[in-house]
Amino acid sequence: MDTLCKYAVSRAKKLGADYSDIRITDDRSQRIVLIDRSPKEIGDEDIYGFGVRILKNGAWGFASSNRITRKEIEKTVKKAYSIAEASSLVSRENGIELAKEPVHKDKFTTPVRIDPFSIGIDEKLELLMEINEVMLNVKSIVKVYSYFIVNQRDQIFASQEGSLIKTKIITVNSDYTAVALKGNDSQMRSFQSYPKNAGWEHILSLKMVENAERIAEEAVAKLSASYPKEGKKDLVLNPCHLSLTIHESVGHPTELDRVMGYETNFAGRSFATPEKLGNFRYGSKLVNFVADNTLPGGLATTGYDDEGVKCQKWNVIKDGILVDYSSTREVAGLIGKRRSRGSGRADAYYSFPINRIPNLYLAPGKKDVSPDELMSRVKDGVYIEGRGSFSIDQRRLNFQFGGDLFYEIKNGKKGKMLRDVIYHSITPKFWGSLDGLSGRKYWEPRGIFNCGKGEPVQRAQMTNGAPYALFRKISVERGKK
Amino acid sequence: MRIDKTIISFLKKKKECDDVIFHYNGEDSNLSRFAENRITQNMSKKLEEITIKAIKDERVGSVKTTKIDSTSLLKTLRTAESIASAMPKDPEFMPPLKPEPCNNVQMDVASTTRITPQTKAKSILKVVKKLKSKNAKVAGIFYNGRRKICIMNTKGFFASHSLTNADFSVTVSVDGSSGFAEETEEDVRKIDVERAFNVALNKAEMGRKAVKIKPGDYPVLLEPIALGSLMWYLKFLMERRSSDEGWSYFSRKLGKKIASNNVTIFSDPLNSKIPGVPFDVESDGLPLTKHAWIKDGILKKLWTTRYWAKKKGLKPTGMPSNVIMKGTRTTREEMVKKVNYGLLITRLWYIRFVNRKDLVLTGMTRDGLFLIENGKISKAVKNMRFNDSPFTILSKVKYLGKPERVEGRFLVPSIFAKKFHFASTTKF
Repeated sequence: MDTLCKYAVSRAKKLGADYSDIRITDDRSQRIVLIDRSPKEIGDEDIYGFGVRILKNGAWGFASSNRITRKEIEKTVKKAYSIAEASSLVSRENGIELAKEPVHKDKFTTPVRIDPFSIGIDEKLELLMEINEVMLNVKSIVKVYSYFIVNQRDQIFASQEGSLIKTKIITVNSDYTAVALKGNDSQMRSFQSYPKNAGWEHILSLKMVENAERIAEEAVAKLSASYPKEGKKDLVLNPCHLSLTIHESVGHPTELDRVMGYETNFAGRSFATPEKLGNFRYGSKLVNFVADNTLPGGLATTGYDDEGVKCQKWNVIKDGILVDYSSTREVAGLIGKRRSRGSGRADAYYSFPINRIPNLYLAPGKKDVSPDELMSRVKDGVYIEGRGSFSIDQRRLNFQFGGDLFYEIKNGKKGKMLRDVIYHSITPKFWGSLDGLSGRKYWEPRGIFNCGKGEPVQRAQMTNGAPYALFRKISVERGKK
Repeated sequence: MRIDKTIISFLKKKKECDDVIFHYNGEDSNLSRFAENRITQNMSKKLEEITIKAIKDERVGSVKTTKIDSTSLLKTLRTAESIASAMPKDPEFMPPLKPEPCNNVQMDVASTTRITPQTKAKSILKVVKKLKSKNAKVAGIFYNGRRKICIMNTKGFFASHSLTNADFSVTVSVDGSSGFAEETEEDVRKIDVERAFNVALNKAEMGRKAVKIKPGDYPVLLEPIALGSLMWYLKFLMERRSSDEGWSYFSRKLGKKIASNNVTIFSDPLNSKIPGVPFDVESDGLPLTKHAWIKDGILKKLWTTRYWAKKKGLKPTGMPSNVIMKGTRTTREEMVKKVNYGLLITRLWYIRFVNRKDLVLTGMTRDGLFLIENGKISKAVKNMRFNDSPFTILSKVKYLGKPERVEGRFLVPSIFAKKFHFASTTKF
């Protein structure tokens, strides 16, 4: 394969490419879904092919194929070159300039203790059967879903600049959901475990079976819970819930391609424009966001991105001030940055790498504050666990979130269960209202497994971490007619 | 490797299981993506994938691969068989389909396959040149592709379908305001790049100096693109099993009035204006036919899988490949003239459930929200978030317009409804 890669970039160079790279990508996936007692979608996937990217006259061409032969590579390189020439009819005056990156000859493999593919499908299914059986035995549960997804990406990246990088990335993911019914009313509750770049040992650590009854009982309990009183309330958000709020209101707005208008037609733009860099108050002084694609177990911890840029760690928001973005080799230079932040990702061999959210987390508080201590500071509020409804405008300002489980907080104490709670705010106002963080002990990384962006839509994965956090005076509504 | 009946003969000969189902999905496409008045991504995609499902004593093992040659075919079969052997019996197992006639519909147009990245780049350049004089920016995509789907099994079932698709969508931005337009066709020659551009530009120009209005209930005129994005949810949710199990919005509603008298929603893969794939890929090739889901406001039918249909003694419909809503001949412009007061919604964005059982959705308006007063657009309005059910609209329909194609899957009209709830506003 190394020889084929070298052949591709040498052919591109000979044709006259200013820059070229090739990725030969083998995406192996195993998916096991169990609905009630019926196994669904059980099987393996192997999506294998290559994509060639060529820069000519400051414009991109990209072509791909699932037939990995010398002849097909030759044909595909020519196609990519011809497409680049077509792109150059409508290119920027000075063309695309890639930010510099050292030449890398390296390998990176996700550290795993137990290869998840070595565990038999029967064993995996047995575990799901047990979970579903436990949940179906809880009165009022009418439907249950559970699944495992195991992914392995083997990729060789080679560039005309001389980089040759081999990566093997292993991801495991699992979740389950119970649906409870009473009369004409229904509620759902999910385990919401978190995907991780790790081996099967991660799945074993989740205590999935042990939690199944509780999850089902909480789904049933939600049916009898009270609706929230609407108005401004303080919120205490748990790390799983907050990871999605972070993803939408900090991760996406700080993608530099979006900031520069690349996603205008679909995913949208961003309010966090370059003139705000270094001076815009994104949130209160407690707000510190760190991007870290070297985070152990992080879903974007891949050694290198799909442009051959080494994974890095950097500050995005420091003491409440916007200080940096995620970026690719193409967009970094548009705001005068010398190096890409290594956020160019493609979801398959046939996809063009685009700017994706890195592993991004809200740093914990400096003191060892517990979630209970945060709640003790609330007179009238809501405690939210887990992910639910989520939506945000295309410039990432107005957002609205639900959750998976809710409790009232009254006079400093967690009280009765609530249902159908939603809250909405405007991004800088929301982060400006952050008034308390739990300590490092309570900080958790949570994976986002299916982030969608781009045209055609590409999936990406990354980890967004958070401590428990206290926000003041947020608009709370009832999410039911 | 040729994708024809010789493959199933090969699998029949080599199988060590009861039956085999074979799927082929091939895509050869080109997508030119532009933003900030230049092409930012220009790609050719070649994907061929096969899926082999091995069936052994009511157990199914499935393997999908892009490695397509006779050696891989046999290897894939053996892996699928070994997975099937490791499975327990599926209590919802359905045997492979027997041979049955399937309607065919012409969706494969050679001109769409032939258009080159160079030709498309020239079209994009044309609109970019127009823009420079107006100090505006343009972003969008121009896609053309051909897809071939083939499903066959060792019981003798065979279904094959080829379709082309061309999609041009464009967002024009002027002074912080934006407008969007989209055209999708099987035949790229029907795409009018300049027409789409002019629609988007007009909206962007009208959207300048948008004012903030209070959230609350408003009469709304939804253009087809906005209604189409709500229809996407209906297509998935109008399903029989969850309804029978009691946890769907449609539970206990079959045969009841759920929309205004003038609302009729159906699917028909043979509809000449919006043809759809004539079989359900998820059901391993179940032929799709015409079905009315909502007729004159009454919920008539919900789509049904093979398993649930058998359990309930129904005829399976499969999941529809298109959704069509009846309309009138009234144009978008004439619809505006009919409205005394209301909001014109041109596009919706980031729609998600708030409450699945009540079918309450949330989402934002984007790329053009306007106030209509006395039959005219009086001002542009800053974008708002809705929290409401599509059936709030569908049960209060006053006027319907001319149906238009949306996303290549929906044929829906403009629709004016008396009430829709907006919960909050944003800054632009």
